[in-house]
Amino acid sequence: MKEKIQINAEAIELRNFFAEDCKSPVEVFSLLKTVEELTVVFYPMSERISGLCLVDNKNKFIGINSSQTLGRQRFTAAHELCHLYYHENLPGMVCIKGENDKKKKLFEKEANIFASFFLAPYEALNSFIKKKCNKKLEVEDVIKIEQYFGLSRQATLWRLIDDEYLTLIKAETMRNNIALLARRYGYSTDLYFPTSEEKQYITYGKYLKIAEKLKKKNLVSRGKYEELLLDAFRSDIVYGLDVAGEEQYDEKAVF
Amino acid sequence: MTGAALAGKRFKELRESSGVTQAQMAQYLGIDQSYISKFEKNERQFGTDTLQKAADLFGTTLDYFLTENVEYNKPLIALRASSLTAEDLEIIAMMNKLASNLRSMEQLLESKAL
Repeated sequence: MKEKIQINAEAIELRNFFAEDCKSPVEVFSLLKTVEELTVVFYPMSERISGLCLVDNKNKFIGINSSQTLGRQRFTAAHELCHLYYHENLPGMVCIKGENDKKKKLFEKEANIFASFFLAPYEALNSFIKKKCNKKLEVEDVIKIEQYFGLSRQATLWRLIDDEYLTLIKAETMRNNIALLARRYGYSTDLYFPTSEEKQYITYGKYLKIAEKLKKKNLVSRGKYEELLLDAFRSDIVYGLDVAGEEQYDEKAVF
Repeated sequence: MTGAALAGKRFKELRESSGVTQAQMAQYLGIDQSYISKFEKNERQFGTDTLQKAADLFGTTLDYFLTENVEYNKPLIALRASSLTAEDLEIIAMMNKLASNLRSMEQLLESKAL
């Protein structure tokens, strides 16, 4: 397996590719939408699958299990990016808990380390802890860290143990009351819950752009266009958007 | 080769090269395993819906099963995992279907651009 230091370097390299620095938290879903050849599908999958990816010529696809918590979905997105950009010749991969295949297991492990470093690079975490946390990390520090970098509790504890900021025993005490404590310390709990149901089936990215192009050029019938959108769970486009509360351009605003 | 024989032969090829067992396939398609075995031996036929569902899983088109000169599209996600459940296969089929749709959309764009 690659050394961790190399995986961290690759995570930073990919951050650079997305015009991100190596210290700030990243909005990983927004980054995905900037990749021209990528289609992202949010879909509730079985508990065993966190996500999957596939490459078809120039087209890339990432599927994210949207029934998992937001923190996990962010991790999955970064994990799949690793497969797509650093695991060459991989036509596709279904990321399953308890993978038995040796080679796949190795890829999975690397992608997990990558995801952790992509969301919180080694130096970024180190400097955040030095500047913002107690010398001996307490649960409120752990919450602060995961809220800043957008990590699940599991990913946060795993990383803090691995980087030797926490002992296994201490981490053990931080596995419960996750949302409750976050709330009490003044944070939002979005990270610890799945996204709302209307966001669980949705496709973004290239697929939509190409469908729109076909429609604009009148190369598909209305029926076919709608079928393509429905295949991609975009009934919101086919049957009309809910525009209540939509942004209104403020004509009187002064810049 | 007749349409029905071709479908059985190609189905078997794709199933085997993807490492999906007849039992997994039966569960995914929601039909009896013996039916699959008979289909592969050209003793029985599948309805279009069933065949389409199989095509989705393998990331290919219905045409591939029915028409001799339609090209082979290799499955995009390697299915070689004995632990995959019917539910997992549904997910893979969904993704392969979107990839296949996108491929057709791009082909259409390119052909009309000429």
